[in-house]
Amino acid sequence: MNWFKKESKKEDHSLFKVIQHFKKSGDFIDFHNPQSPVPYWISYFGSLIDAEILHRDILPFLNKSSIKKLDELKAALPIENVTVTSDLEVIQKLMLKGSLLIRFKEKDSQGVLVKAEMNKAREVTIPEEEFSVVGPKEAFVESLTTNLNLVRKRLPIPQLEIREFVIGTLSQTRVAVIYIAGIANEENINTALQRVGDIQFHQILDSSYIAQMISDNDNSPFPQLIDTERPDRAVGVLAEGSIVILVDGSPHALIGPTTLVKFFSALEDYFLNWQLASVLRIIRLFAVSFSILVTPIYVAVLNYHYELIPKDLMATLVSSRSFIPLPPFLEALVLELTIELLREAGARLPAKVGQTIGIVGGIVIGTASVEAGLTSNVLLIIVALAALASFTTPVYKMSNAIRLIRFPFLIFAELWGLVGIAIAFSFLMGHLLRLTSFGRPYLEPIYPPRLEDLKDAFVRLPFKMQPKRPIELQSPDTIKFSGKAAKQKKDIDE
Amino acid sequence: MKKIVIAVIVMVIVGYFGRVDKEILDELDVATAVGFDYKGKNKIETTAVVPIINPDKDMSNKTISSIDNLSKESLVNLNQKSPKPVVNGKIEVALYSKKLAEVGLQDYIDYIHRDPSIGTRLLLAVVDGNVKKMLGESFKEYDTGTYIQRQINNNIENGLIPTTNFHLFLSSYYTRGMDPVLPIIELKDKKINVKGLALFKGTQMVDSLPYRYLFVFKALYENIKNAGYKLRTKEKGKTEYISIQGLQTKKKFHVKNIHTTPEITLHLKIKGYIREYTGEKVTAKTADKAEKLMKDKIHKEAVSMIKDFQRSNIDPLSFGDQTRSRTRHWDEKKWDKQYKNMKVNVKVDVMILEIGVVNGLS
Amino acid sequence: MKVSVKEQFLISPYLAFFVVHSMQIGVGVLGFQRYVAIYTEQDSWITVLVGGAAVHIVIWMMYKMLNKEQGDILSIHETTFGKWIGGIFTFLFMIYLMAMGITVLRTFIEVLQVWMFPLLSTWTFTLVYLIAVYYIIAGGFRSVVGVCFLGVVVPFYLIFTFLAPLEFANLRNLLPVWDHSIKEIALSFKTMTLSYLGFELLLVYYPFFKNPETSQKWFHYGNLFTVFLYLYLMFITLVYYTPDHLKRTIWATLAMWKIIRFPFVERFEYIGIASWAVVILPNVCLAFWAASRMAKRLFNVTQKKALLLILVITLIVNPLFKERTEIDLLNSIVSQVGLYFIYGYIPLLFFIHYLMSKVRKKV
Repeated sequence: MNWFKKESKKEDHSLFKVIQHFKKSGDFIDFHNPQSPVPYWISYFGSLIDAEILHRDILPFLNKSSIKKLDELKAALPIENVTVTSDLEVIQKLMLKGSLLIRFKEKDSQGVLVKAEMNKAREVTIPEEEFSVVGPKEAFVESLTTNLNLVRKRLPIPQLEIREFVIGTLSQTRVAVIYIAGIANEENINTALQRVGDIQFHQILDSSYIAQMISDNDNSPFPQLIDTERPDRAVGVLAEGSIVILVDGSPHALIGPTTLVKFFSALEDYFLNWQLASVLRIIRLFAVSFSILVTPIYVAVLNYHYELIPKDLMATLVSSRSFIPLPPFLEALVLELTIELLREAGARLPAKVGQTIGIVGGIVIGTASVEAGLTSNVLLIIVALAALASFTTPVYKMSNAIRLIRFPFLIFAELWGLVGIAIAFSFLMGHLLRLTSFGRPYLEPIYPPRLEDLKDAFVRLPFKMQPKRPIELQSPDTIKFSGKAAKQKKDIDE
Repeated sequence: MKKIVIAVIVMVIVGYFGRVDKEILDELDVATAVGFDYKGKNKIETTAVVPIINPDKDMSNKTISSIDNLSKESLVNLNQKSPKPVVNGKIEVALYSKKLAEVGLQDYIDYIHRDPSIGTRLLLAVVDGNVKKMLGESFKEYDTGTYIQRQINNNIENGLIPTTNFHLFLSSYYTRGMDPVLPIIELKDKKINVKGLALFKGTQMVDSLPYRYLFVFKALYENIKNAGYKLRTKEKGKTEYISIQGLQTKKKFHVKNIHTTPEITLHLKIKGYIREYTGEKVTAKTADKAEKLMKDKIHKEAVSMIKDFQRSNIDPLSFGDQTRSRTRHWDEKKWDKQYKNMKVNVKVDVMILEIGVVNGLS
Repeated sequence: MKVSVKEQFLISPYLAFFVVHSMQIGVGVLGFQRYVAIYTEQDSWITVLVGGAAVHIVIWMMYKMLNKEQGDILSIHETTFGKWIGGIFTFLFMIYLMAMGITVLRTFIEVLQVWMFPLLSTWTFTLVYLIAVYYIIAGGFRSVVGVCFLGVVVPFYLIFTFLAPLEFANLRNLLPVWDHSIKEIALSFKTMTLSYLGFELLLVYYPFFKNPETSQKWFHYGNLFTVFLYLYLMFITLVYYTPDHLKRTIWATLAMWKIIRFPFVERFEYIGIASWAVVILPNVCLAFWAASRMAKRLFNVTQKKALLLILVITLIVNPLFKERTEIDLLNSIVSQVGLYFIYGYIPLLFFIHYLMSKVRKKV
């Protein structure tokens, strides 16, 4: 597969042979115009070229000009990004990225490369996964240039640095590591640059490839980098000292270092007033713990701890379960899997059909299985609520992780009831304590406990109370703005 | 890979050997009440009430009973007679027949105390009559166990039964200078009726208090938050009734001469309002009259009740504990000797706060 | 002799608060009241205060030694007794740490077996629990301290559940105050001290603090919080139980939960016991971490190997204790050793160490 690399190693190969090789592809065009004042050869991949640039700017110029030297042509062409080279490797690389090659003789060893790359990308659209009612409605697209533009125009400062890498022996994907010098911690930048630079892989299809390859612990179900499709979110964390990684061909930016609680904050929290935002965050956290724990608790209590159930509830539970042949654990497992099934089917099908499946599955299967006596209606409510609760997480990958870790809890609950749940919790606690993101503790600000960072974790306090950048990111410039003016106290009527 | 294999092996081993005894809710007979009948020397009959919950939430219950030497054995033997295991975790009422209480409840309480699955909010009561028959009765709204529990609880909160549960029983049993009490209930016309109070010396029932004394007893035993009281007067040859409601009481102990011959003074403060009067008109004068009447009546009842207690050498009102907590190096033996002849003064203050929203029809 | 730990493994001094507190709070909390109340009845709260105050003095002594040495118990032993005799003492201390971890775990399993699962097999539970412990200790001292922190913060809600028994409180139970002789207080002081044990692990993890001298303040606060917690529990227990009742209640704290009845849940002791699995996690983790750390310093083995060996020994030893009497014996032996260690050995060591350093200075 590495045909062009191998070839370039051989010194005696000429440019002509490379072109001959390219000609094997149907979309390669090698075109000769003997009629112009100076005859020229022009070659390019038709599929990579913006034909408009070619026809509007280059061809009319060439057909009229009488320049005979490549260097002069370079200066005269009304287009930037023109190179004169005889380096075969560079020529190949650029042509494969959408440059034209102009020669004056067929077997010349040198040529002018003119960048005329076709930029066909999706228009910037509304964010779909991280939709918010208030706030900007732009989302990243698949083109790195567009994405960089979206970031740059929000941070028009010289300190914004973008380091580009080309990763993937086959895909030659451009990866940009973005940070603000002087605000992002040096150590973090080095970690990110080093990890991205060290990636060895043949192709990078999406930023999630990068996320998996540079995360601290790839055996963990928890995502260690936030992925976002919102440029405003990316810019927001850049300003706090995080590092953002953009990948060409992916509409998702990666953010690191990050912490667990950050996954439960939506960008909308910053657009709403702080009281509302805090309540929403608490609801989200409650929903998450509910989603993880409620089915295991049901199994634990019904299996082992009937003493815990108040008398009134007991009648409801017993009557709902009286004809069900499955023990609570299997009953819960079957229902949980059914919900996963519905979700998976809904995700794979086109949106309109998916909706139908959701409704049909939810209502018909749910009602029917209760009436058939296969599941108890109490559990059906519990499982449905738990599934619903798991979708409140703003970051999609985190909500997947939450649905996954419910199952070990379920197994432990079946084994030792509430004590089993406590043991599973201990494992989870140990795991989260050991987890890091770009070498920074994942569980911060819970552990290590940092009061300053708690202001924007489970709750979001007003902006004026947070004059400092998060300690987590170890920014060399800790002050966001001077908090003094905000703190000044005023007497009545003054 | 090696790690995954080890993890799977550990999970299988733990899953197999680590299993513990399951108690799946719908495969249990969850007893809500348990009763003990005296059947001759060293023989008792244990009865458990198990509610049957139908899918349409209809309530009914069944009773299981067995006769044995020990309560422990007989509860185990109940399992023989039931298709599902009978469990104790939700027992809310434990009933003892009067005869059993007179013999002594030591063993039957010890069993409940040792079982970690039984809660301490359990209600204990003495039944005048056959316990098995009472538990076999069915009531419409709830299963028998819950019904009895609710009725007793209602009587504690809004009626005249002094606050009681298993923990309080044990507390007063273990308190030096205090004896426990339990409510007595009976089955009357297919209804549960509160008959009075059983007075214990240790775990043995030695005396009982009829229902009409319960207001005074409760007032001296704890602070009443809400109760009613009825007064009868003769006005111009006509018998009239005054009903006083919303009664709140506060009591205070004063102990004199602690080290020589203790003398206890009980201050009782009662507040309430007149709700009903069969006479002509409720006026400020009626209120005064009612206050005085009530004061005298309660004083008389209290004094005679305490005399009775002293005579039977029981101390349910915790006079002993009152003196103990006021003395360093309290001598229990000396107290036991002194108690019978100790002087107890009762002072009652009654205040009628309101006379209702109207002055009466006239 | 200075023991240096790499910068990235150091922890902030204020975490000393949680480390000491979480280690002191263990299975003992579930039933310590009875052992104290046997001697002093309603005056037991005085014992709690006196015991806590005495512990502060021992902490002060330990910090004096450690500040001078800038190391751990091994380096103190080496300066005072020389390499070999000091080594033997350190080895004994290591065994004590291990026994401590084993005792906590076995006693907790006993609670489980008495209150919840009579058929629970000791070794399976030990196995699973130890895997969690290994996983946490393998993350280093930072994650052990993390467990200490979360082991205090997460079950914190339980403190409020103890307000429920106050519904049936009888304040008269506390009277008369000071009705017991000094001798009785001294006897109960001895048993109360056992509840405070666990702070002596400072002798191992002292070098892991950033600016260890500054951690002393937090260490004292941590112990103070433990005193407060015990005092709180003791007061509630004393007003809830009469002395004779308390003397017959083995797990007084657990039994108090039996009275709780919320509209959505009854019988809180089951939730309490389950939460206690998280509460004792720091105990076990820290004890085994300290034991393996001592092994590493003594025998020059990797801590991982030492830890594995310790865990395997625990897994074998734990199921050998079968009856309540045996577990009681284990408990009383370990706590007796701990008692003599903190009130006998540490003051002695403090004295000798003081003299030795004086002598050395002159030389």
